Amino acid sequence: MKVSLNWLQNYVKTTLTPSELAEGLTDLGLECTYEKYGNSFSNVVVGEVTECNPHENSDHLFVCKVQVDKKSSFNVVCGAQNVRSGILVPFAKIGATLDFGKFKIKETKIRGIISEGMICSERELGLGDNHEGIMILDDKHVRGSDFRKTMNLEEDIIYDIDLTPNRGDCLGHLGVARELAILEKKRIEKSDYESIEFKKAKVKEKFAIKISSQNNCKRYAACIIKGVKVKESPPWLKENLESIGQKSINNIIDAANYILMDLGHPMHTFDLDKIKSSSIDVRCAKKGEEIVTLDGVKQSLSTNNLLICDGSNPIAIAGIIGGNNSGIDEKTTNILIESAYFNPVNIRKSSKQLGISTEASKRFERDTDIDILIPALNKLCAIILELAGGETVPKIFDIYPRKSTIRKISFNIKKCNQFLGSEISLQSIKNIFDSLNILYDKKSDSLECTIPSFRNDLNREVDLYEEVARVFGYNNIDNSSSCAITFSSFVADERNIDSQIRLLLSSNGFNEQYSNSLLNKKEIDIAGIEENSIMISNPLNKEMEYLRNSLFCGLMKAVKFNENRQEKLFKLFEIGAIHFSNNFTKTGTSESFSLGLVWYGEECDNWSNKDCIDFYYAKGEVSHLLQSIGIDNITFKEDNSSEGFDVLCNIYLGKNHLGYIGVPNKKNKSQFAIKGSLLFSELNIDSIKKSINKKDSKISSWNYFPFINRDISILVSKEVKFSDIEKLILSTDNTILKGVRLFDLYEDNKLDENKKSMSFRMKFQSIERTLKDEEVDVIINKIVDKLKNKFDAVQR
Amino acid sequence: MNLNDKIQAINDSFSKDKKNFKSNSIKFDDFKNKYLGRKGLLSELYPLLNSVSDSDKPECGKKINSIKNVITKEIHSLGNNLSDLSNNALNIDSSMPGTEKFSGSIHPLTKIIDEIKSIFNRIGFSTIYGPEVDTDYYNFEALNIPKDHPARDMQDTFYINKETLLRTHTSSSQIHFMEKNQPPLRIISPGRVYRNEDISVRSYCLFHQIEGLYIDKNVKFSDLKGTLDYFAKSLFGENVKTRFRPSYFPFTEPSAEMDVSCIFCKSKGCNICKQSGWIEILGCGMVDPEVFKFVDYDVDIWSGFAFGIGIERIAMLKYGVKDIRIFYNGDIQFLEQIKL
Repeated sequence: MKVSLNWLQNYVKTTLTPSELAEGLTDLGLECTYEKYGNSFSNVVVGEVTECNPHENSDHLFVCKVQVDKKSSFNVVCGAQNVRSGILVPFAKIGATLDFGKFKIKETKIRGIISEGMICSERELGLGDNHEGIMILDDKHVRGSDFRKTMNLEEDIIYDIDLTPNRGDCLGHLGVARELAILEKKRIEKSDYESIEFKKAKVKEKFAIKISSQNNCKRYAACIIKGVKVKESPPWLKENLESIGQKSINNIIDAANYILMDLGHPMHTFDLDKIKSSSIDVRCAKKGEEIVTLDGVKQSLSTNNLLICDGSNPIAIAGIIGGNNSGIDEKTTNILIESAYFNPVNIRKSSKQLGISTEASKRFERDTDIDILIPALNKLCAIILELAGGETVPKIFDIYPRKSTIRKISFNIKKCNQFLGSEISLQSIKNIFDSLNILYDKKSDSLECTIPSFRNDLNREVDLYEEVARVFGYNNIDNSSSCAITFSSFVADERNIDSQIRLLLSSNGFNEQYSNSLLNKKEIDIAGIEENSIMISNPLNKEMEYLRNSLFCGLMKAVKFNENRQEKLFKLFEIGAIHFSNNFTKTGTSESFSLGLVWYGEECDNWSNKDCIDFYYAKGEVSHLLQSIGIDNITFKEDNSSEGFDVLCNIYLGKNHLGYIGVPNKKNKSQFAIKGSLLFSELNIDSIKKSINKKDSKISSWNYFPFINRDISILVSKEVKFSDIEKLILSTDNTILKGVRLFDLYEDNKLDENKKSMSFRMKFQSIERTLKDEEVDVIINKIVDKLKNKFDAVQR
Repeated sequence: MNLNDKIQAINDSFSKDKKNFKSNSIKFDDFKNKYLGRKGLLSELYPLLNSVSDSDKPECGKKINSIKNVITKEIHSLGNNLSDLSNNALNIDSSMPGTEKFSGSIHPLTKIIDEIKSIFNRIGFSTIYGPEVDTDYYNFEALNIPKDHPARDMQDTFYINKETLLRTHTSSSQIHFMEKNQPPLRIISPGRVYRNEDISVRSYCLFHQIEGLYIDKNVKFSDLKGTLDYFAKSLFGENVKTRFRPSYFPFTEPSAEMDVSCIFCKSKGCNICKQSGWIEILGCGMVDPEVFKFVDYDVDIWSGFAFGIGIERIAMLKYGVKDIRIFYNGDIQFLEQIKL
């Protein structure tokens, strides 16, 4: 919210510099920045047009004499059609500037006649949009006087306050001024804004007001002014509103707006003659009821919307916006001013539901001061009478069926200091309460506090602790210098495994990435290992309608990004939550943590390393990762049913599915416009975590007996799977055969074209003795025989 | 060629090669093999014995053995003076690039999360987690943000349906934790949170947070200040100052924002701190008694504080990142700059 320093000073004079004031308000919880607000012109004075003749070389220009004082008068060429002799005008002398210094007034020749200055329009002075003609001033201004001074157009500082939702009381200059008063160690009394006097006429008016929905409207006040004249607002009012970013409309509406910005209390003005049957009823909408609001939009209402109605129809949505059937227009002469207190929850619900947020609704939903209704009404009446004339009807309507009780809170000084860790004296606390307009009675060790009606946010003792702390100054409370730890509060980090995986992968050359977890429909279908995806009911846009069900799309988009940037070779990984619907949980969803891996590129292009980035490369890295975190013996099973992959292998530990690894096919890649070759793997971290043997694995005691390595090479049909050979070899002996490795694979046309040559290295070791060659030979022979029988393998 | 001539020739060649070897113009292995190899010069001597008369054979045999011993000894002693490394080093160009590795990296946000976790872990905060999709109750109601509270405007929320939403802060994890555990407790909860905000240089539809919660007997506002001051100094350096400003969160009372003195201009005023000398880092406050009521903690016994840190914000400050979106597009040139 914007507030003007000049405006604030109507309540409290301050000697603080603009930055001190901003800092002071910020320290009180009203975070703000400020800007200088100045007139866009300089050196403009009031001049009198003493002569005005048509320009001899033009059919639309005039040559005028502008008298500034007795001695000096200037020749000025003016194009405005409303210029005439005998008027007072704002006159920019030579050397004056307009538009914040961008436009400098110089002596010029216009169609052969020298012009020594410029008569200005409202727009040229930055005072309004009017450019129809030059600005004509009232006679009360004095020739030669400084235009800014005579018009009361002071320089100003505008504070932009980022107000927290609890401080509805500061949505007006009065509220902010109260905070300023704290800084200035002054106090704003009620009388400073309540004692407004204005003349009441003796006109009579029959009018009836009724509150049908007392839950939603605790108090409704109104008054009537007859015979007003709707017109443009005077410059001071326009200037005041414009300085804080409000548009000027007409004198009546501007006046109401001014009080809204001044006291923070929204009031509504109706055209009295448009209110049928001279009565108002504050009630909830009936089923199917509609209203066309001031902005011309037809709103369908529901039964919880609170309305202001005349004899038959709604004329406003209470506290939010008026109806266009009852608004002020140029022809309005009699008005009714509404000053009411509405239930904040009702206003908020309606505002949300109807999608209308106005300056009024913003204030009502943050709760307003129920005691300010009449003072606000008085103040507004006084201004309208001044600006628009007319006479007030003496009776002020004030329907207030159940008076609000005075809020009292008991405040314990010791407890407060204990809570804050401070040592604030009783006297300081009293001073603080004084500055907050909180009344108190001392009762043994506590203060019985009476909360002012404008502080709806103070309801509990702890709320007062905060008030004490903020006025005392958060930064004046010492920081404690120690912290005691309770052993029982420790909890193990259940996602520790993520850190381990990150460390392993990043040191193995993978770059970690984070991707958006919101995807579009197409992407969800691509990655759709499961169809039960989760849709957002109010997405930002169609591109982000679903929660990701896989890390695939995020990684593919990252691949595309880097491919576009000419990256040739890289590895990426991401760890994050993926989501599925699940009827058995409270939220109807379930989430699991996933690890996505991607290998991009064909081969390492280093002079000393030409590793091929192929299926085996990736499989090796996945296996290595899992081994490193304690998962051995994983198996890979080909899945030929997958649509999106040329090769796809599921990864298991026993029967537990841990994830998969695959080579996305062309069609799949083309959905992301990826051209290069890549591999992808996704592992379920939750399954991995469960698969890690929780018992600390024992380190086997050192074996001092040497092992023997034996190699055999065989020629077998290409059809034969490695895993079958491996299984067969390992099954041959379970005492001294400790392992088998494939260390060479050779396929060549020189061999039989259906055959491959495989070389295995077997490791033999006993835990009891040194092995003899003969015992190993026996097993090797057995293996060779078995391979021959089972796979028709020939030893080479 | 008779044996004596041959021996003489080998001797001559050997002295020459010795020089060559010392001047590095012949490699050790070649040098050694030339004389001692299976087909080396010395091996050529023995067949010549056949052409010698039997009476001369012992004499000639001695000569051959003698030159063989001398040369073998000398070559071995030369060889022993070479270390394995310098032996190989003779073959390499050390300016050639080593075998390149992929440039692995940890995401900057991970790094900040880890750093903040470790700062709090040191003073006894345990790390806990909660779900990204949660109910309105955990995300709002139990945190004292009822349905029609204006504070809901502070957070634009993605909904799955009326009651289910994408969490807007990780405070929801704390409610889950409090329901299952009794105080005293000291936890931080990192994680991904979502806000229904237009994507721009400064904001994204999701971001990461670490929220902290400390509940015990007699936890004071001054404890909150001390703890978070320790945190700021640990993260940004001993010399930073902190300041606390009143703020508002429905789940804390009093509430505060913590600023640190600008680390870029040393509080002199710069673009990053908008000339204020201070940078906003986190929101915090004393846990509101209303929250305790939701989780059945006795308000008269327990008090505590909570805080929430935006990871992206810290990362942008620490790494000088101007556009938040770069955290989520997987740009390797950006990612690989972050080192362990």
